[in-house]
Amino acid sequence: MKILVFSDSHGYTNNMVKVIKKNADADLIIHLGDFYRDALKVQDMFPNNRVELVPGNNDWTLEYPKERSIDIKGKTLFITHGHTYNVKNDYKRIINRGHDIKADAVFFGHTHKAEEIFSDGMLVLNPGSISVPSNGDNPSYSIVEIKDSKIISRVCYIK
Amino acid sequence: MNEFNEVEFFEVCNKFGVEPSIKEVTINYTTSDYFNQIKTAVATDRRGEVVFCVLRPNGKVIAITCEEYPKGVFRIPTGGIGHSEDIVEAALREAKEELGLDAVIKRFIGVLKIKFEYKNDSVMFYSYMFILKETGGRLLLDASDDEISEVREVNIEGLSEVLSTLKDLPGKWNDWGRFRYETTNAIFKFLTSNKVID
Repeated sequence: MKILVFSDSHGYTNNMVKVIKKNADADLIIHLGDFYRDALKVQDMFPNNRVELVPGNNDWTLEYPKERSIDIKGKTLFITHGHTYNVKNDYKRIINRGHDIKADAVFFGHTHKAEEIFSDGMLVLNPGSISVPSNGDNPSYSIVEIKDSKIISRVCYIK
Repeated sequence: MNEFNEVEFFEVCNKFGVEPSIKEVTINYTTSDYFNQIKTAVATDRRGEVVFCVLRPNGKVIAITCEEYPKGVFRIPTGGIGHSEDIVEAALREAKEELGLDAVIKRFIGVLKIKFEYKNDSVMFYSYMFILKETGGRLLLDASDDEISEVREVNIEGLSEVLSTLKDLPGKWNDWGRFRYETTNAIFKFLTSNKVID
């Protein structure tokens, strides 16, 4: 199970499209918000791929829940944009939430800064921004693989 | 009387390639103050207004307040349309005068036909709603009017708060607030209708 995780594309889908084409074997694409319509565009362009999304703080939609759990291959992935957990300040709240619901991994964006840490065995992953990274960084995304009941992730930067 | 100009409305819809959207609403005013203001305005210098929602590149929209409003009350900006003025020109003129922004129209949303009632009297007013995208100018700094005292960029939660404030203002502002609730809510409904705007 190979998952591509994107966030904060902010209206620019070129980088996402390149990454998806390069990773044609991906089983799932997750977009963590801002702008949710970019995820819808990607879904239109790649109708055979499964795309899951959560809206961000700059998305005008009431249609999608702000956070959700996805169960895949016996693992629980908690996805949310991050603003409702104030992740620009610290990760305490989102980490606590992840542990509360017994998630195996929490994915969020919002900060435009990629990060990959572990908290008591739970993966805490921010893929950064695929279009408008914070100062000095390259655009980034994550590849997550669930294999032999392990979650393996890495942050990839686009040159 | 202030009759609705259907020919002109359909022309604007055609110009921007949108299906005509007309919504009707009646607002019962409880005091004569704002009712008389609107009635006088319609009789003299305006037949309606443009409601202009500036969608910024960051995805947020501009909400404004004025010095005389109760503290913390914001709304989507609007401006009057003169009796012989073009609707589209009015939208761009008002964005420049009020906000200081050069803009293009991204979307014509439609019209809100408002019937203001007070006791046995009534007056019709038309709010034409637009989504604008700024192309230049400096927010407020380049504005020629100084009516707006503060602007705020709001997201979906921010605009929800703006709406809940407008809905139930105390005292003499209540009538005005219900009017501004309707125009701001029409914009909110459009923005959350999942119609993609690039």
